[in-house]
Amino acid sequence: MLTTAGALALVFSTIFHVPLTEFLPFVVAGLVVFTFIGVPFTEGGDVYLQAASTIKAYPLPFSFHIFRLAARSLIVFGHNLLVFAAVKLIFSHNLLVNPQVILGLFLVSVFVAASSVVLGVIGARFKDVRLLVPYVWTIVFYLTPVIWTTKSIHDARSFIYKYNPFYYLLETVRNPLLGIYVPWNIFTVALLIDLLAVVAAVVSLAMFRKRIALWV
Amino acid sequence: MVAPKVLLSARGVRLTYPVYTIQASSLRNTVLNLATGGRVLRDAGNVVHIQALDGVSFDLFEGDRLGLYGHNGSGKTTLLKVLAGIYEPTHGEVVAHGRVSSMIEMGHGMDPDATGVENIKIMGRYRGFNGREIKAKIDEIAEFADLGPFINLPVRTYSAGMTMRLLFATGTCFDPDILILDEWLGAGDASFMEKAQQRMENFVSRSRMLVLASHSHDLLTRVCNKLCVLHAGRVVYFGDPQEYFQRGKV
Repeated sequence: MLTTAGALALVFSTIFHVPLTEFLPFVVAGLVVFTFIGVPFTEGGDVYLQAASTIKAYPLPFSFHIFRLAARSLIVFGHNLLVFAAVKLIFSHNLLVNPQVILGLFLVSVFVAASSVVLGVIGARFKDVRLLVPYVWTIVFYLTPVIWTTKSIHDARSFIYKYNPFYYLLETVRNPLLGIYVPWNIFTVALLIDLLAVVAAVVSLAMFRKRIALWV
Repeated sequence: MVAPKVLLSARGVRLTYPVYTIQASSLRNTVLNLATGGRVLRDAGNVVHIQALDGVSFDLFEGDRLGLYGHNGSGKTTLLKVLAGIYEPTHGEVVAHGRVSSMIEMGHGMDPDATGVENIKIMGRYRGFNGREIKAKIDEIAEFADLGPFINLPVRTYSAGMTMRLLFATGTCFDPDILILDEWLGAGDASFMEKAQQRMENFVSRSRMLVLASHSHDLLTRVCNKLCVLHAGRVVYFGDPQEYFQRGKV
């Protein structure tokens, strides 16, 4: 994590002419949060296939496997956060965090759990999805301001991040971590994304719950 | 007189099982298929629907011991899984009053990298017991499984017999209301077998109700008071086991 962030920060701080000491905490925070948001894509498509042997042996609710994945991802996130704390302490000489981070983390966790349900169900039916979505996520990575900043796009092409749902989710956690205040309309958008994801999760479970055990 | 309580009932249970070929289980092919007007998955055999259960209904009461009998592929294990709540029926419903404990695919749900004790905890949790209830049982399980120091080593270091012993000891430890078994369990070497036999009988007698699938006439006649014979997903006989097997001999 740290080596990737270091390499990326080194290259892009040079390209954008930003001091490395400023850019490194930004990139580390971005990567830590982005990795967590990406769990549905990197692991969600596989969640029911991974749990196949448990699904076939115990009558557990299908949300169980999702919460297990979400809990594990939160723990990994917590570990990565330590790296960020160290970087922040070294480069910013403080550990000031905006309390908005709690709300942001909650919204992102809901997103992770809900969209893992959707991708998990699709992944259980179509076995190539779990191989496909990680590639999609790589593309999303380049389209989301993780290693570049929104300040570097001024013209009409700012739609790249303005219509990117992951940008809003990312901002709700990354900026508070950096000690920056997040405007509430960002949270409103994140909440809407959550609502959509939850509705999609409920619908996909209601439609296909009976079949998941037969698919995996 | 109080009527005996219904513990488990099946109402017109039907289950259709889809089987996909490799082609049909690919999203890429399915999308291509839509785009090309069905040219990619032209073969209708790409998705096969199997009618595994076709209208199964019965009521089971407190103290019942139901035996399931039938040829391979007659739907025994599928019915067990539906009764255990692992599969939801396509039509109809299964209503259970009480904690259902199933041992159908026993090795499943084990974590090979976790130690014996950790796996006991995981399996206990999966069966719906809390930390305290599990903790109280660990010593008993460890003693019965007789794994010695291996109980604190990862399960992947176990031999097949040792894994079976751990599974058996754990599986038969937590008291079930409704017990669902695929074949009578026996495990390990000769000396353990004897011990296991006794524990199994004990375990079954503690349950309030049993559903057991087996091919053994002897076992079904000895253990069960009701017999359900399946053929191609339908119930072809439901009643006294002794009567059925004797009729077959004539």
